[in-house]
Amino acid sequence: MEREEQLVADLLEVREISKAYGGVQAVDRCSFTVKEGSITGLIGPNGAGKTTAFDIISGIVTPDEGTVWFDGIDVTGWMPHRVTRRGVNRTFQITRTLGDLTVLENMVVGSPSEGWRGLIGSRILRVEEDRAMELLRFVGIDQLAAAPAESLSYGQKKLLEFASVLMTEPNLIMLDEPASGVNPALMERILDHIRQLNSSGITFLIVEHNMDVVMSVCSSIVVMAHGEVLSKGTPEAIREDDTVLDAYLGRV
Amino acid sequence: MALLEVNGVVAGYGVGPDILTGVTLTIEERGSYCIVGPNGAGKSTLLRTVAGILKPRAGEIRLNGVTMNGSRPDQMLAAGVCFVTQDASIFPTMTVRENLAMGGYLIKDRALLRERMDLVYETFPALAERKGQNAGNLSGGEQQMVSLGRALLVEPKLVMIDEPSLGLAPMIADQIFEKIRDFADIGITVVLVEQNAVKGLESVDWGFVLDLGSLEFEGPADGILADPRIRELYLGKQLAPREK
Repeated sequence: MEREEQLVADLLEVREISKAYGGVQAVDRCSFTVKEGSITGLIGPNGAGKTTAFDIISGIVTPDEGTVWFDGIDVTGWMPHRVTRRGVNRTFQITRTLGDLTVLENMVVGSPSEGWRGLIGSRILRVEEDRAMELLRFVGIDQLAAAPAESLSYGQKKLLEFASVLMTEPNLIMLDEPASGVNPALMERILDHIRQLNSSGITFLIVEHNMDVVMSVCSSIVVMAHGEVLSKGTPEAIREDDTVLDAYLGRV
Repeated sequence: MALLEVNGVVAGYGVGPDILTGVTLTIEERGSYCIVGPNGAGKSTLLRTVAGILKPRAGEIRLNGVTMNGSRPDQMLAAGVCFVTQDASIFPTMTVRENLAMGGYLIKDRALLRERMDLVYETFPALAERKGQNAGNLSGGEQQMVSLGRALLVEPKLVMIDEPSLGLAPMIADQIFEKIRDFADIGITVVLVEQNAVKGLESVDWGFVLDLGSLEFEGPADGILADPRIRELYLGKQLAPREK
């Protein structure tokens, strides 16, 4: 079993990253890997540094120290759009949709074929539209394609953001709290989408506070506390780890 | 009679889902309580609903036997319920003295206000030293003291404090918890919401455990964390063994 795990490559490797904001050490020499094909959970109490780690991996924040390796390439300090083109895409804790644009426009606005074509004409490429509609169908909101994004419910916005992340055809999808503010039925749908995409080869890194979700969908878990990696392991092992429980209760 | 009764309260934000799905709990006069529970359990939402910031969608909030549903925050304050919010919400460009005075705007008697101010400075000597300084220049712990001092100023029957240790260094947080115990000692009923369950429960007599918007269980504060249900709540439910 262990040998088998050795054979699976690390798609993402975070090496000794640190980031301080003012006097606060948000991330402190944090190292972990995400195996190709895994659904890895990144958990920890509030203020553990999970979102900062996410921001560093996706290029939004440059670490003070340390490196981020994706698919064998050092992507530390890359601009977010370059990281995205390399195959990493993410959602945000607070959904970010462009309210004035339609659902379809939201889908294509972040697509890779921007550039000089976008400067000349404002038409949406046929191939992009087809792909966008296919993905909207996948998450079940294709009937809302022409609606302004601001008219969507909170849950529908979450699905839109999920679908638009898929537009860039990422190898690694990072989800920041996919279950927050979502009703149980919708959550089941989102989890089904995650499992389905994972079985088609997409790797996931998920920050989530709902432990039932984490424990049921993740194959591997990284626990952060005070900016450091506290523990790593299978959901079963993490659940029985007393240091993890202590971190959540504030007993440090 | 109970000071505060929360009966089957359902609440949420805007058109969003219910965050509180039916909370029932009782606060006795002169007690001290801490509400703990995992992220998203509804702890802060419960305080906001009692404070009148959120209107309950269902259920009842009774203060001294009187239904308070739909009361505004200022009406709740006038009725003796003071809410200290998570972000300390001080006025950064006003002095410490002015910040306290803003809290005392319901006190019309100037002599009484001065007397109460002196009591606050006595309780928080650090604030007395800094009364002329802009509150925005104070440390995080001192700003939290301004918030607590402002609560003390109105002599509430019940003070609800949301995450008093948030963003504070452990040593500073300990000082704040000590002050909170002082509140209970002078007869103010205290309800805390605290992420740091260990510290929060050490500072009170009784614990409530919230999960998914309702009360999971309650008991004497010193026994709460030994309950086996705590692990399940914080780290998820036991999974069915996976197929090998």
